[in-house]
Amino acid sequence: MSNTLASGAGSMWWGHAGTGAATRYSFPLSSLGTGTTPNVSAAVEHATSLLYLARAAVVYSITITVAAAGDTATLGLVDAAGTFTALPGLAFPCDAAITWRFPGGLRIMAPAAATLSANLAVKTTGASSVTVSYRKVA
Amino acid sequence: MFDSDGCAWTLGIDGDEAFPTDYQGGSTTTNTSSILVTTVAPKSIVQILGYTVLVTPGAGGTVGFGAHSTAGQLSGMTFPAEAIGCYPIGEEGQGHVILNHAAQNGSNTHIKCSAGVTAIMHWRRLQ
Repeated sequence: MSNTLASGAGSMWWGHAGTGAATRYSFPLSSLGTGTTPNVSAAVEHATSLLYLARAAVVYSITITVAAAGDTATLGLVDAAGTFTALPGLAFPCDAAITWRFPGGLRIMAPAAATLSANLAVKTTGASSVTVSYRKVA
Repeated sequence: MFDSDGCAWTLGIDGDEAFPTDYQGGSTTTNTSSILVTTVAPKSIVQILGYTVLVTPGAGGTVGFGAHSTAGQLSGMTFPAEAIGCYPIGEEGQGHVILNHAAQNGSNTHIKCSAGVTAIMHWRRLQ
């Protein structure tokens, strides 16, 4: 166990609420999971993320709490300019209220580019809401 | 082997064979029939923890894992991918281990999706 949190201590989480047709981003702002920001396009919001300058994070699960047909929950990273960059292929269908529980946990490393950390965010383009279970590991 | 550090992942798409281009955390994937791009080869030991099906045409969809050489991949390491979801494999979700394979190119691990299937291979390099 290399993590500073004891085994069994649980993971962090953040909630994301979609707003119908509008594209919406969010990232963790609070260890209590209540910190959802409506838009990460502003750099100042980016810097408040709990994962700002993280080198590695693990996503354990994504729960679709409110399903919306045709919508997807896309995991991505946010750079210092507040720009969301989707991780290749990590767009999870939100057609049903299910939990995507990743075998072993999905490790996200900071890219080589100096402007990017493992500053996770999630994006939806419809009315779906999701909860992301994660932990910063480095 | 389970801890909080998570595992690497590789995205497989629509009939292609996808190879990891790193083993640190895997946001980079190359879909190709070439065996030369992977960094998880040769002579390594790899643990396949499970897979996540993101897109599937339904009945008949499959996803397979294994070592690769010009001769092919491990036989039998093929799983159904007929519905979206996450699927741990092996004993209590601890996966299958691919050891060095004398007839093939070490543990040159890759994922192969059948036509219309997009899936993530969750894996970890043990050695």
